[in-house]
Amino acid sequence: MKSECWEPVIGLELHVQLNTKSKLFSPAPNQYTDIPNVHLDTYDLAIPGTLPVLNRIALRKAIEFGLAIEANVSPIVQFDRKSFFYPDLPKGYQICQYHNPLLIDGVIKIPKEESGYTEVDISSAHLEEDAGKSIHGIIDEYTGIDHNRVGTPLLEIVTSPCMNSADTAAECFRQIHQLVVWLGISDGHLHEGSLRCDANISVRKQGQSALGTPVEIKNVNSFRFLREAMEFEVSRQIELLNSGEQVTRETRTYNSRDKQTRTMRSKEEIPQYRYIPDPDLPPITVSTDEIEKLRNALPELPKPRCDRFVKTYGLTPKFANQLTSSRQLADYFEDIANQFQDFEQVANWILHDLKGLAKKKQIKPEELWIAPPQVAKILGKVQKRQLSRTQALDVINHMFEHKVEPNEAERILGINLSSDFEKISDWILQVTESNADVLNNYMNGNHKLLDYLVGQVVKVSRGRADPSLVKDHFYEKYSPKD
Amino acid sequence: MSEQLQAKEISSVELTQYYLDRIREHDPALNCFITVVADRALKEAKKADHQRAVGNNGLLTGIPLVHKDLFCVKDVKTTCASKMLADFVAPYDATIVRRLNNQGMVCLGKTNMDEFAMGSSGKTSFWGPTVNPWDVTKVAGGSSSGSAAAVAAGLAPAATGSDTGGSIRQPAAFCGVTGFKPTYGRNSRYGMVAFSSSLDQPGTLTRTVEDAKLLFDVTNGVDTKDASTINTAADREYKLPRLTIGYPSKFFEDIPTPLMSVLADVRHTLEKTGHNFKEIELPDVQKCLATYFAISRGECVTNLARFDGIRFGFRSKEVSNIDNLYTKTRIEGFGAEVKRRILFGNYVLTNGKPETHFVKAQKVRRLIHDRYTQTFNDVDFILAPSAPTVAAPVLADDHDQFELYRQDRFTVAANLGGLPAIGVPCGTVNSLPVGIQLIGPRFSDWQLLELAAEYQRLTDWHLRYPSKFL
Repeated sequence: MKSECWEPVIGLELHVQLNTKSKLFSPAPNQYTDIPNVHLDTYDLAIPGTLPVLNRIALRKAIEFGLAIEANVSPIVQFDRKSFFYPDLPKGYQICQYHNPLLIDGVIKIPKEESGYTEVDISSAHLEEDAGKSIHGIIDEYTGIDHNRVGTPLLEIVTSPCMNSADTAAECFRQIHQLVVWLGISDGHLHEGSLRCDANISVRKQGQSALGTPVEIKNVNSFRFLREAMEFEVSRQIELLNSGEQVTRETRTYNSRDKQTRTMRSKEEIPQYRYIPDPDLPPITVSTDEIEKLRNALPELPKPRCDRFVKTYGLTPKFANQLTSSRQLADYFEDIANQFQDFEQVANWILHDLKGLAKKKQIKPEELWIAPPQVAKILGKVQKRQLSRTQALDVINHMFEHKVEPNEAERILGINLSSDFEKISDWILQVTESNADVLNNYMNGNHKLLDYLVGQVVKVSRGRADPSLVKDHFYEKYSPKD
Repeated sequence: MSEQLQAKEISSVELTQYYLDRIREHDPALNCFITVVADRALKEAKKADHQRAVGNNGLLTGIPLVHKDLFCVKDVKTTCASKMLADFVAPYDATIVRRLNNQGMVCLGKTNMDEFAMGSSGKTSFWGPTVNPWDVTKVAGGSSSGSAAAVAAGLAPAATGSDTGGSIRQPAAFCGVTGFKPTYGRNSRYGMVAFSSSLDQPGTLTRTVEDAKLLFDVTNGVDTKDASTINTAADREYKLPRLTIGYPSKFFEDIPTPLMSVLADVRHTLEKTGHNFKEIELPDVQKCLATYFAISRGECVTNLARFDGIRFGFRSKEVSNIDNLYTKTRIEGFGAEVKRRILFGNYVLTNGKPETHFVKAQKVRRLIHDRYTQTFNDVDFILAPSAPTVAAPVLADDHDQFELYRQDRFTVAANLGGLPAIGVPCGTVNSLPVGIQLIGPRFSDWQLLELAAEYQRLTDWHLRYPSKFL
C-alpha cells in the first residue's frame, strides 16, 4: 500500500457541557441523573407560551474559554433557531449561534515531540442548548424520552481542518478537556457525555491543497477511541482511494469493540435547518470592561504554569507536565511546596507514592490528599530520617482508613523513630554477622552485593525496615573500598 | 364601574353574575367564548369583595375581564382555537394574566379567536367564527374576534388581545371598541402562545381609552421571564401640547369613499382642538405587507414546531412510526390557514438566492423601521385607517387569500416597527362601526393614550352599543 503519499486532514467538533447550576435558558437544575424527567421546567418541555431567559453564567464561562484560547469574543451575543424535528428536541428547534458565533479564531497549542508547538486553529466556538435523550426498550416497542438533558448549556468548539494525524487530533481533544476542567467551566465527565467529540476526516495526496471528501465520525467520547477511530478511518479511506474507489460523504459511528467505523447516515438525508435569528432573545452586548474583568480573573493556564514549575521549582519538564495535568493537582503541589522546600521530594510524593498507594487501594489519589501542612510535617520527618517512606505512606493510609490526625496515626502504628533506628542497626548487625563473607566481598569493592545485603535486612525485619534507610546505614557504617 | 364598586353600590359578585348572565343569554348567538369559568369567577369576585371590604384593593379589584384564548391561565384550557390544543390545560399564568389577577380582577373566561391568531375574520377558529354584535351576519374581525365582540356586546367590560399584524386594532374597528397595541416590549409575552415572536404584542380591547390606560398601567413593565421586555421610565403624567399629526393621504385614498369621509372627519375633530396635520408619505403598504408576510410566516414555522404530538396536545390515533406520527398529528391537528402559513413560512426560510426571502425581509423591515423613525422627526403621531373596509359578511367567498391578507395593510407597519398604536371607533358606515388608529414612536404609549382619550372626550362613538345587545 502506498500510504506514504496520502495525507489525512482532520477537523474536530466538540460539545462541552458547561457546569452551570441551571440550564442555558430555564431555571431547571443542570445536573446529571439517572432518574428520567426530574430536572425540568415548563420551558424545557416547550409548553406553549414559555420563553427563554439566557443564563449569564453560561455566557461568562464560554467567554472564559474564549479568552483562554486567545479567541476574539464577539461584542454582540446573538442566538438563532435551528429547526428540525426530533422526538427529544421539544421545541422543534435548537437555539444556537449560527450567524454570529460567540468566539472565533482561537488556538490550541500542542507540544511537538522535539520542541515547539503545533498550533490547532479553533475557527469558532458558540453556545447552544443540548437535546434530551431517546431511550429504547424500556416499555415494549415504545421509545421513552428523558428530558433531563434538554437545555443543558453546550459550548460547541470547532477546529479548522488543520490536523494531519490521529495523534495530534486526539491530543487536541485531550487538551481541550484539560482546559475546560482547568477553567472550571465543565465537569469533563466523559462517560456522562460532558464532553463529546465528532471528527471530520478526509485524505488527500500529499502536496495537494484541495480537501478530499470528508467523512464525519459522530460522538466519540474517549481519547483512545477517538485516536483508534481516526486511524481506522484514515486507512479505510486510503484503501478505498488506492483501489480506485471514492470516499462517500457520510456520517459514521465508531464501534470500540471491533475497532471499526460504520455508516450511520449519508449526508443527503440531513434536513435543511432553516435558521432564523431567535426573536425571543434580543441581541445583548458584552462590554470590553466585562471581558477585561474576566480576562484578569482567569487562572494561570496549564502551559505557563508548567513552564513556571520547571523554572521556580527546578522540576523536570516531565514532572511539571504531570503536576499541571489538572489545576487541582497543581494547586495541591504548590500548597505543599510553599511549606516544604524539597520540591522534587514533594513531586515524587504526589506523583509516585500517593498514586501508587491509591492504585493499590483502588481509590482516587485525591482521596489521600491530606492537608498540606500535615504533608509538609510528614515529609520533614522523612527528610530527617525519622520516618521511612514506607512508614510515611502507612501513616497516610491509616489516616485515610481511620480519619485521624498524623500524630495520632503515628502513635497507633507504634512508629517510634529512635527505636526504629536502633532496630535497623540491630537487624543489620544480625545480617552482617551471619553473612560475614558477603560483607567482606562488598567491602572489597563488589558493589553489587549491597542489594543482596539490604534485601537480607528487610527479610530479617519482616518487611519493617525501609530499604533506603538500610542502604544509608550501610554507606555510613561500611564504606567499601574503591 | 370602579367608582360604583368603591361606593358599594354594587358588589363584585353582583357584577360578575351580571356578566355571566349576559354571556349565558347572548353568547350562543355570538360565539365569543371558548371557555367560561363561572364558578371560579364567582369565587374570585367574592375574594375581591372581601379585599374591598378591608380596604386592601386597587382601582381594578373586583372588575371582570376576559382573556383571549392564547393567554395561559393556570388550570384553565388554553386552546388557541385549535384542535391541536383543544384539551390543553395551561400549567401556569401568563405574566399579564398574573399581573391583572394580582389586582383582584375577575376572569370570566377565554375568548374565541382565529386559530393560533392566524386570520383577520375569526373564521379560522376550530370552534367556529365569532359574529359581529352589530350585525350577526358579519364577521367580528380577527384574530382577537371573541375579545372584541364580547366587549362590544357588553359580555365583558374589558378583554386582553394580541396584535401581530393588526389582530387587536382590526376587530376593535369592526366591533366599535377601543383596541390598544403597546410598544413592542412594554407588555410581557410570557405565557402568550407565540405566532410571530418579533411582531406579537399583548394588548387590550376596552370600551374606552381610559379603561385601556387602567389596564396598561398594570400590565406594562419589565418581566424577567421575557427578555424582549424593555425598561422605560413611565411618563404617566403627560400634558398634551399642540401636536403635529402625520396624515398619509395615500392611505386614505386607498379606501372606499363612504369610509374615507368618516375617517377624514377625525382629522377635522382633532384640528378643531388645535392639533396640526401634516401630509406625510409612508413606506409602500405592499412592501410592508410582503415583509410582514415573510417574517410572520417564517417565525411561525419555528413557533409551531413544538406541536408535534409528543408531549402535550393532540396526537393522531393511528400512527405506525415517528415520521408518521408527526405528519398525521399536524395534518389533523392544524386547520387550513395554519398549514398554509407554515408552508409559506418554510418557503421563505429555504428559497431565494443568494439569501432567503426571510433574510431579505429582515433587511426591508429595518428600512421600514428607519423610515418611520425619520417620519417621527417631523410629526408626533400618525393618523391611519384601522382597516380598509367595514366588517365583511361571514358567508363571504374567501377564495382570494391575498385580498384577505390585504386587510392588514394599514396595521402591519406598527408591528414591523414595534410601534404603539391604538384604534378607536370614529363613526359608522351602513350601521357598521368604523375605526381609526393613531400610531406613535416607540415608547410614546402614554402620550398616545392621552391623545386617543382626548379624541374620545370630543366624540361618543365609543359609547354606543349594538341595539340587539343592550
